[in-house]
Amino acid sequence: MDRFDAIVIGGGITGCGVARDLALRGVGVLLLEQHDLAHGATGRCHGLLHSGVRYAVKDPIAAQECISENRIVRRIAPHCVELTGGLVIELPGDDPAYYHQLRRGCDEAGIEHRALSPADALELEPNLNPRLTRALSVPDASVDPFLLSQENARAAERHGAIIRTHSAVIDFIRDGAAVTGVRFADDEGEHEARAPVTVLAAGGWGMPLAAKAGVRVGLSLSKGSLVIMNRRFCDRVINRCRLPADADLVIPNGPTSIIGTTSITVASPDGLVIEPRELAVLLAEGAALAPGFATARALRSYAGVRPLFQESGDADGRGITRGFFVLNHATRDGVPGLVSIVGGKLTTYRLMAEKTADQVCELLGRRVAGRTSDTPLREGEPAPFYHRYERLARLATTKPGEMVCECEMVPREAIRAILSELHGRPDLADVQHRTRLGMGPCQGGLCSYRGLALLHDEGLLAGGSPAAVITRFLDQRFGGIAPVLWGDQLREEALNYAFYATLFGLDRGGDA
Amino acid sequence: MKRFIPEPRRPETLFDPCIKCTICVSACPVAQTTATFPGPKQAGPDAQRFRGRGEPVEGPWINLCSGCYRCQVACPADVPIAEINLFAKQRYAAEKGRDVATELLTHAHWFNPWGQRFHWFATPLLRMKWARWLAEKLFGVDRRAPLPTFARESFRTFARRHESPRAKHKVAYFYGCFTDSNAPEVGRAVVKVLEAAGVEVIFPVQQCCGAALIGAGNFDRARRQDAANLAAFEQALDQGAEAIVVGSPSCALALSHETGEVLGLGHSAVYSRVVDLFTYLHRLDEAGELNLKWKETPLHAAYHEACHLTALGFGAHAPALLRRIPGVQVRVLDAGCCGLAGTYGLKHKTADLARQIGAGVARRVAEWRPDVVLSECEGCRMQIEHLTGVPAKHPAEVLADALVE
Ligand SMILES: Cc1cc2nc3c(=O)[nH]c(=O)nc-3n(C[C@H](O)[C@H](O)[C@H](O)COP(=O)(O)OP(=O)(O)OC[C@H]3O[C@@H](n4cnc5c(N)ncnc54)[C@H](O)[C@@H]3O)c2cc1C
Ligand code: SF4
Ligand code: SF4
Repeated sequence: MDRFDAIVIGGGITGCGVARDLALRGVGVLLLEQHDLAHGATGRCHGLLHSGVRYAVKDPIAAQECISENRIVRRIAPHCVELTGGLVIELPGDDPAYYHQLRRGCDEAGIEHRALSPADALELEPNLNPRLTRALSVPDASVDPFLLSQENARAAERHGAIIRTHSAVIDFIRDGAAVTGVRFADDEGEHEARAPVTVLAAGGWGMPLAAKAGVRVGLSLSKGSLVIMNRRFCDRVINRCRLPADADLVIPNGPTSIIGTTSITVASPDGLVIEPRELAVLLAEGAALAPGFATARALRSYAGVRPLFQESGDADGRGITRGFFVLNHATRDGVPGLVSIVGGKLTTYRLMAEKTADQVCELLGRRVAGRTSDTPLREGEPAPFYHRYERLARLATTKPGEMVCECEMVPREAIRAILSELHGRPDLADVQHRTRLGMGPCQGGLCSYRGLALLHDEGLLAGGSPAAVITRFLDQRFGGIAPVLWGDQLREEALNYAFYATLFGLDRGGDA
Repeated sequence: MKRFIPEPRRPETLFDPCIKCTICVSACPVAQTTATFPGPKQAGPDAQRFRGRGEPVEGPWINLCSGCYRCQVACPADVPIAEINLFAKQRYAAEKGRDVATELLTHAHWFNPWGQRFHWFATPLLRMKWARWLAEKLFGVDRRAPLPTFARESFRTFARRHESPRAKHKVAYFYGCFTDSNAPEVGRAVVKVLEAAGVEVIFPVQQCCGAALIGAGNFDRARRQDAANLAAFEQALDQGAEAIVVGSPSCALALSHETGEVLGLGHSAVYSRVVDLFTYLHRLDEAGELNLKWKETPLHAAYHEACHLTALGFGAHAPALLRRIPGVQVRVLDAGCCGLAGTYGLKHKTADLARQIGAGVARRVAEWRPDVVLSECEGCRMQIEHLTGVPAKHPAEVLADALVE
C-alpha cells in the first residue's frame, strides 16, 4: 500500500468528507489522521447544524450556504442529526432593531422562521429565561460531529478508500517543486505513500505542514471554549437575538447541553488552556439564556480552534470570514500536486469537500461529477447511531454487568461493534468517540476499567501496558474536568481519584 | 436524607448530585433479588438524565421499584432516588395507565368502609380459595398474598366517642386507613399508651395519606386527599397540638415527606411536626417526662424495623422502650426488607418477587422462633405473618397490654 490517486491529510470532518466524495467518484484515496478522526476542531466544535440564522445579518452568503447544506445533511445523514429545531430569543437589553434585521436576513437567505409569543416559547422550553421578550423558531439542528466524521470515513471505506488513524504526516515527498507523496509515522514506524495529488485538510495544523512544502497559508487561529452541562436544559438550539458574540448559543447534545463559545486568538491548536474568565462568561451568559445554568452541574469544558483564512493583516476572530477556500498551490505558489482546503464550517463540510474534490479531479484529469448531495451516507444499511431514547430503552434488555458505561448507557455489544475500527491499537478515547463511553457524569470513573477489561478480553492489549492505556484516557478526561472542578463534579472527581490514585496506585505511574 | 422542603420538585433537576458511587445498588432489595430491575442508580438518576419531554416511556421495569427508600437513605450524595422513581412511575402511568390490581389496591380506602360494615361477609370471603383465585384472575391480586381482615368497629367510630382527658401535652393522631378499618386495636393501644404518658390525643378528620397512590404514580388523587389532610392537621396545630403522631411509618413518610417533595403541597408547618409514635415517646423520655409503670410480661419478641421507618430518619426507638418492660425480651431482626412494600407484595405481578425479597426476614424469624414479631408497619406485619406463620403486632400493643392501670 503506497500508491494512490490522492492522499488526504487530516481526519476532521473536512478530510473525511473529501475522502468520501473522492471515493464515490472512483478516486483511490488514502486518508491519514495523526490521532483519531475528529481529533481537531471537528470533535471540539459546538455541534450546531446551522440554519444560517447566525449569519443572516452579517454574512448573507454564509447564511445561504448554511441553509442549503443544512437541508442536504439532514437528508443524507439523518442518523447523525437530531432534528431539534432552534429558537432565537430576545432578552431585555438586546437591541430590538436586530430582530427585524434578522427576519429580513432570513427572508433573503431563504431560512424559514416563525415568530413565537414569549408564552409559546416558554411552553416549548420551560427552562428558558422567563423574561424573554421575543422569539423566533428556525430550522437549526444538533449534529454529532464525531459520528458524522466516522460515517463519512466508513462510507469512503466502503467505496475503496483507506482510512488510517494514528498516522501523522511528517513530511512531503517532493519531485522538484512538486509534491508527489507524504512520509508519515504510526506506532510501527515511518512509512511513505505516493499520489499525484495531496489534499491538505489539516485545519489549524495546516500552516506548519504547508510550510514544509514551501507554501504559506495565512491562518488566524481563534480559540473557542465551551462548557458541557450535565442536563439537557432545552430540547431546541437556543440562539441569542443579537450580533454573534460570546456564549450566545446553547445546544442540546444527547442528555447534555453545551454552551459556547468564546473567541480568543491563539498561536497553536495544541495545548489549549481554558481561562477562568472564559468560564465566567460562559456560565453567566448561559444563565441569562436559561437561569438553571447558575446552579446546575457542569461536566467538563473544552476548547477548539477555528482556523480562519486570512490573506492579509490581523483582524479579530469574529470579523474574519468563515467562508472556505480551495487553494491550488500549483497556480498559487508554483507547487504542483498540493491542494489545501481552509476555513469553513462543519455545516458546510459537504460543499467544501465537493469543491475540493472537483479541484482534485481536474488535476487528475478525471471528469466525474460529485454525487454526495443526493447519496445518503448509509446506502441502505441500518444506521449505527441510537438516539438517547433508544439508549434508555436498552436498559430493559441489557443484563447486569453488560453495561460498560452506565452514565451514557453503552453496553458491551455496542463497543464490540466498533473494535475493528481501532486497527489493533487499544485506545479508550477511540472507543469514547464512537460510543460516548466516558462522556457522562462520572467522566470515565467507572467505565474506564470496564472498558480496559473489555479491550483485554478481546486481545487488544497484547504486549501493551494496560496501565498506560487507562492512564492516557483518565488524563485526557481529567483535562476537561479540571476547569470545572467545583460542586458535584469536584465530589465526583474526588471519588475517581480515590479509585484510581489511592486504590489502584495509578497516580504513581502504575506502569512502573 | 434532606427533609422538609415544601416546594414541588421537577425530576429533571434531581439527578445532578449523583457521583455514581453505586452504594444505592447494594442497598436495593429488588436489585439484589432480580436482574429484571436495573437497580436504583440506573433506574433513578441515570435513566432520568435520559428521559425526554414528549418521548415515550422506556418500559414497565420502573414499576419493579418497590418504593422502599433504602437506596435514598444510603445515598451519600442526597440524591432523592426513590422520588425520581416515583416521578417516573407517574410518567409511566400517565402514558400506559395502571393495571386493575394497582387501581384496586391503591383505592383500598374506598372499599374499606364497606368491607368493614359487612365484615362478617368480607373477612371470610377474603379467606376463600376460590374467591382469591378469582381475584387473581380478574384483578391481578395475588391469591397467596396476605390480605387484612375487617374489624367489627372502625377506629374512627371509637375516636368519635372517645374523649381524651386534658393533659400537659397534646398531640393530633393520624391513624391511617389500615388501623381504621383493619386493626383498630392498634389505634386503641396507641391512644392508651399516649394517655398513660400524660398526653391528650385529638383526632382531626382525616383521609387516606395517599402513600399507596403516590407509590403507583397517581399523584392527582393523592394530592386531593393530602391537601385536605394537611389543612386539617394544620388546624390541629393551631389548636395547640404539639405534634402529629403517626402509628404507621409509611403514612408518616407520605405526610411529612412525599406531600412536599413529590406532590408539591406547601404545608411545611405540618411536615416538621410529623413524628412516629416511638420517636414521640422517646422525646418525652429524653425530657424526663415519660413515667410509665409496667407489669411483668413474659414475651420473646423479634422487632422488625420497617424500611419507611428508617427513611423517616428519626431512628427506631421501639426496642429500647419495649426492653423496659420486665419479662419482655426483644431482638432486632436486622434482616433487610420484608418485601411487601405497600401494594407490591399483593399484586400478582410482583408478589413472588416480594416473597423472595422477604426470604431473609423469614429465615431469621424461623431461626429465632419468637412468640411475636413486632413492627410499626402494617404491611410488614402482614407479610411476616404470611411468610412465617408467627403472629405480628404493632409494638404499641405490647406496651398497652403491659401498662399498670
Ligand atoms: C469552538 C468551535 C465551535 C464550532 N462550532 C461549530 C458549529 O457549531 N457548527 C459548525 O458548523 N461549525 C462549527 N465550528 C467550525 C468547525 O468545527 C470547523 O470548521 C470544522 O470542524 C473544521 O474541520 P476540519 O476537518 O477542517 O479541521 P479539523 O477538525 O481541525 O481537522 C484537522 C485534522 O487534521 C489532523 N492533522 C493535523 N496535522 C496532521 C498531520 N500532520 N498528519 C495527519 N493529520 C493531521 C488533525 O489531527 C485534525 O484531526 C466550530 C469551531 C470551533 C473551534
Ligand atoms: S448512592 Fe447516590 S450518588 Fe451513589 S450512585 Fe446511587 S444515587 Fe448516585
Ligand atoms: S426505593 Fe427501594 S426498590 Fe426502589 S430503587 Fe430504591 S432501594 Fe430499590
